[in-house]
Amino acid sequence: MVPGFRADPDGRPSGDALDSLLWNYAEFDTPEEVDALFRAQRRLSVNHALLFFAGTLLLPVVQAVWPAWTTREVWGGLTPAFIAATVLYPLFCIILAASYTMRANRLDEDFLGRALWREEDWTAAWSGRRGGGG
Amino acid sequence: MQAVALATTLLVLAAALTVSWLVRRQTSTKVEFYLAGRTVSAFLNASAVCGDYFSAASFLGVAGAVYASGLDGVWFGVGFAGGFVPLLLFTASPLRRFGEYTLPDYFAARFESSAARLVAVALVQLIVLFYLAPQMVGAGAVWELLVGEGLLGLSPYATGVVITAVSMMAFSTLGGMRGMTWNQALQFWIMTTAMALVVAFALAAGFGYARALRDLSAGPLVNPERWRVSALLRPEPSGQTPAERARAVMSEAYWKRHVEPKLQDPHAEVVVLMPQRSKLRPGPAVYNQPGHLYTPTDHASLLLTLVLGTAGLPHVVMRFYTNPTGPLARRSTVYVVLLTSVFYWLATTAGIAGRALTPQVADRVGASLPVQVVEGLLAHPDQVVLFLAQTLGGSLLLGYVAAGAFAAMFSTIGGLLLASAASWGHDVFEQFLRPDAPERVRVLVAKLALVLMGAVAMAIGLAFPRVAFLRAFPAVIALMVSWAFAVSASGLVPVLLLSVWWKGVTLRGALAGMLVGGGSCLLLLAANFLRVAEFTPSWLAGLPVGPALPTLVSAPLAFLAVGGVSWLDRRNIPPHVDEVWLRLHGTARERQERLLERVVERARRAS
Repeated sequence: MVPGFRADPDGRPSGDALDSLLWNYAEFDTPEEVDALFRAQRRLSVNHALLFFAGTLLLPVVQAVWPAWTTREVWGGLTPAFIAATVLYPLFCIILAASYTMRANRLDEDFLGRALWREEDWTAAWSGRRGGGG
Repeated sequence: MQAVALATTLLVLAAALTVSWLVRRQTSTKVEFYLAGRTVSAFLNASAVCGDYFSAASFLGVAGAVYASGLDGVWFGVGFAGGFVPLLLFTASPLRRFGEYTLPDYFAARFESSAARLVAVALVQLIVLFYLAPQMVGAGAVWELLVGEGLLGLSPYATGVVITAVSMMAFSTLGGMRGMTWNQALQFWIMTTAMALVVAFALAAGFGYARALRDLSAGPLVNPERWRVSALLRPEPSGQTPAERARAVMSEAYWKRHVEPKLQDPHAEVVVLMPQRSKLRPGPAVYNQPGHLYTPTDHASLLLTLVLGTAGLPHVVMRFYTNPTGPLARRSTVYVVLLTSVFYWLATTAGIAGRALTPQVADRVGASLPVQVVEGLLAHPDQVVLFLAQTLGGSLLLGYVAAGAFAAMFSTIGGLLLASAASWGHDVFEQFLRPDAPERVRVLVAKLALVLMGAVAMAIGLAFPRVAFLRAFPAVIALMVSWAFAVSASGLVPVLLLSVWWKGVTLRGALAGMLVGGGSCLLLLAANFLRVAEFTPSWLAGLPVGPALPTLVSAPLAFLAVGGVSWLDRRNIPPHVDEVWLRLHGTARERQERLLERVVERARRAS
């Protein structure tokens, strides 16, 4: 199963195998799982990127084709173009970033996270090897 | 000389460096340093990323660009902040998980190729040089303004360049990466509080955002420009001379006193107010409307430059390797987007406030701060934040704001020098020249590389034709930094994005992308330098995109080159790509690290 694996009579890793497992193989991903996650993450990233670049490049386009966007003053000297550049666009970026981060982190947890043992088992084995209780 | 301001600046910087030093003492061993790094919160990491990212362009240049150009200047700040979104969406988490140290490291491992590493090293060094030059210009300008005196026979500007370069070489060589997180985070907060104080003082002085914007936009936009008399008096195709256009918007008294006496000497230079033409429509530019700096294609190119370029800046990418995990790298980036948005909003407001308040407060500036005010407008827009600090808050505020300016330059120069040294030392020396070199020699080479790059930056700062560029681009610092972004957005980012998310990218595709994107970008930038030097080739005038911002042409070319060549070369997909994918997109390694920490800690408690 794992290079260098040695087990005690109960089937639990022992000696150097315990270190090797804990340091290298306790948590693992299979290529198939990673591929599935990668595809889901790519879809999520591309969707958010399309929204981001559409929002970003829309501004010069609107500016070029709709004169009132840049000339009509809605509050003092603030035109829609000025409000978009100083307030709406930064808000758009913050909301997009937060939304993406929540979804991407959730995808990581949903797709991956397989472990050989439960954390308590590792703790017990590790403590026993060090001569401690537990 | 501004003695009080200078003392305040030195005090604030010394305090910041002392805190960094104290923090550094707690992480004196390599293991402790790395474990402490894993416990750094996302917010602290975000502050450090901002400290690294905000340079003279952010602290002085954005407000200067808004001061000079209004709405068109706002886009510098907006683009700088928005640049972290593509970085978040595509590279922050995978690069952290991949776990290498430099961008060339990533390319070398992804394609198992020394050639990919070398081309990436060349691009990284170019980006560093493009980024360092405006920091040096900013350092010279701030010294000139704050101290106004040169040392050892140097001009004030050259003294500022030399002192900043030598200080940063010494600090970075001695300190290395240790303590950099706290240092950059502290410097970020000095910058932000300084900018917030300037805005607060402006509000207290009666500045109203919307009202000021309306008043500033009531007539055509006029800006001070430096002209040689011979050019000022030369008739234009319309039959009118620039002098006549200038005189139409200037007061008779100022003209007679400051301009007319110099008109006899054709080689003399004068600063006059000049009505600005709109690039979007016939007629004058207006402050709250677009058209002063960009045509629609220029505008799109600037946005593309800034939003794509951030993901390939070597000093910023290096900071993302310090995040504990992929998810925390993402969360940290969200904080960065938030903090940069707040900072650039403040910088934008300071630019508008400066434009609105300069006529009222210009007489308060006195002789101690040698700014040139022409009929209520600053001759050098990049000085607006310092000018506001002096006139609204006096020497103490000026000192604190100057500390913010130096903090911006120090933190960025430090990050850039370290990124450059890592690239020379780790990617060239250790990989090609002496792979078996002992640790002591590796560190020595990294320090030598850092000193050499510092010396090169100093030479660029001293040799830079500042006057010619200031004549061509009023807010030159922000624009110069955007050239570094352009090289990044064209040379590195297309290959980086595609190779992280498409298994089909081959070595040949990657090399083609870096060479085509980086090469075309450099060609267009070189054409721009020729234009500024008034040596414009005829073919240049016919280009559809302003050569100052080449990304709209060079980045798509790079994407096409990577995609097209990789498709043609599709039989040569790197055989180890599945292993690379496990490192880029899998989470086992970081879960393993967290598990190990928890198990060891629980076992320690139990025993």
